[in-house]
Amino acid sequence: MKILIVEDERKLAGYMENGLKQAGYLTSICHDGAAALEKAASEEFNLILLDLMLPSANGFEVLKNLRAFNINVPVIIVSALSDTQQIVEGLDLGAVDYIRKPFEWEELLARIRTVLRISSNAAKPTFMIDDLFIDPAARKVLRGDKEINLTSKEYLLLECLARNANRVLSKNQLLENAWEMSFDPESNIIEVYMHQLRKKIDKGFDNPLIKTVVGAGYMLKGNKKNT
Amino acid sequence: MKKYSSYPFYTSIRFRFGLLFNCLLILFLSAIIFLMYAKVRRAFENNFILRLSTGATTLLQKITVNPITITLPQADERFLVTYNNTVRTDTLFNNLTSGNGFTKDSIQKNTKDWRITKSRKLETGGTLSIVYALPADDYNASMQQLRVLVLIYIPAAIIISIIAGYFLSGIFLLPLKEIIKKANRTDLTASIQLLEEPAFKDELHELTVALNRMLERIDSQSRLQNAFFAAASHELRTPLSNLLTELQTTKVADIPGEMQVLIQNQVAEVQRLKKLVDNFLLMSRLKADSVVVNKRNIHIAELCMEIMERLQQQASESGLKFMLNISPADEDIVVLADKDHLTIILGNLFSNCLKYGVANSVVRVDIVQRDCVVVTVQNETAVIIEDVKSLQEQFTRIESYKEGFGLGLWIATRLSEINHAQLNLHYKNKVFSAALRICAVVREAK
Repeated sequence: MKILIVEDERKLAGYMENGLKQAGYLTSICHDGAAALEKAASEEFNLILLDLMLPSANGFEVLKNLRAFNINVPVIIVSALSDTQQIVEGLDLGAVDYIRKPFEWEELLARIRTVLRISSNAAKPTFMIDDLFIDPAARKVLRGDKEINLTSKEYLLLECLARNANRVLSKNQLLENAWEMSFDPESNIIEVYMHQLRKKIDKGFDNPLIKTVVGAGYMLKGNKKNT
Repeated sequence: MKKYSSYPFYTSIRFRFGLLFNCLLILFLSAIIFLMYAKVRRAFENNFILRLSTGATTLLQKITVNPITITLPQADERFLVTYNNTVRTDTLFNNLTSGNGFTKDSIQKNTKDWRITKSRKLETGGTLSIVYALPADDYNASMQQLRVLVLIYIPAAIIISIIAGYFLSGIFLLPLKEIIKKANRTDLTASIQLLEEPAFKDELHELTVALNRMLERIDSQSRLQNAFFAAASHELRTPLSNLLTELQTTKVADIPGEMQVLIQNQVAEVQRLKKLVDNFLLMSRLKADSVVVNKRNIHIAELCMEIMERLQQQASESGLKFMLNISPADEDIVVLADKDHLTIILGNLFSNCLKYGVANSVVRVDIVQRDCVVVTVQNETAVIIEDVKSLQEQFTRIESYKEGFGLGLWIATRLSEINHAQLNLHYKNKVFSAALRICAVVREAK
């Protein structure tokens, strides 16, 4: 995985390069906007970490030009500018994430992993359980011909159930997979989210796919096909 | 920011202008009514006098002395005819009911009748005189009608003038209202729109130009202020980024044990400094009213979970767990607010619970939707809170030895206000609770 670091602060760029190399990524550095554009156009990168306040062309201009030249590399903005307006503008121009300086290194690595996972999901197969279609790359869910809008947690929960279709998953297993944290067992999150999922996935269809196994957990039941 | 003030209606400029216009209109209308009344009255009088005069002259012409011939009076006619020669005065006819003497005035206006005196020189040398009277009933009735009309017109004129005065003052003050409306819309979070200058060169034009000059100065100051915040933010955060990234990307495994501890301590200090810089910058922006609110739909439960996940490490270190309950369970709870602001507010509330909570206890978060959405964060504290309300003031800390500047809850309160939400704190029996009430709720069809 190759990452382009666009950062005018040479020291910071150096530290980021070291950290990313330690994490197993290939890196390249640019210290101004024009050079970054040139590099992005001439080489292939999996991700760009882009500062906003850059000499020659600022981060927004770099982002605009990247999209204008159809260079669709995912971009994470890494900037000390923290105005909501700037964040919104950056995201509107096509950045996939925005992280404020000073950032926690582990958080940056986690976000990089997420972005790379999503972009690599493009190659992942889609799967079907009966008439329920799930496309992990596009995070698209269809039941029959009807497109279903899910929140990020609802989607993670459904994907977890779908990957383990026809197997009972306990409340704790679902919490660990979708939330990556331990909640107090008295929380009603799973119940609430299963209720929401049922409402969105099963309501209005003859054969409900989500089953409750009393005392054990939940299960997505149906004929599974990977495509 | 100073709130918009309300004032009683009677102190408004519109009311005062209205009153002025009203008085002027009343004066004008009164003058017109008075003039019209006087003119009509004079016309009635002249008409009546002409009738009297014609009657008297005609009668006088028909009277002869030798032999004495006098036309008999009509039903409403009264007259006194006298013949006067140098020796004596003889009364030839008199049917006047009262006051039959001649007066100096040729016309005598009594309540019951009006009289006119006329005389004619005869060829014999004597003078024939007549006091001719007609009853004033018709005239009095006409005048009475006129007075009634005037009495009706005066209150009508006052009412009309009040309404006209109010509308006129409204029209007159319209440009001022526009200026007030635009001034109320002006804030430092967006670029300032100048007022449209009126085409007519008058005091309002002068006022608009002066206000525009002031707005330009404010705009320039606001730009400078924003530039300062951007520069301060950049300049303070860049060295912190360098420090934090350098420390966190150092290959810990390759360095001796004591150095590893040193690095961990340095990371903790930089993180503390980073939090402080963030809080101070946000506090400055809040005080300068330059925080922009970008409202959008937020799935409140998902946001709470995102923040909880971020604080998971801190929670694990203190042995604390989050308990999240959502009610009603069958509805997506979506609020309209600035996501960044809500993240800061909830982040501050959750991290405070972790900071001051009893080890191995539970931080209970309830999301309840009724008319509004209320997020309640509750936990048992390891410290005693004397005055919970004071925590919403700046630089108020529960314990001075704990890290922080006592800004978190002040920032949370101010951010709640600018998002039209309400943050209330409670403390009872060592249990601290914070309730965030958001009424901008996005209703979805069930």
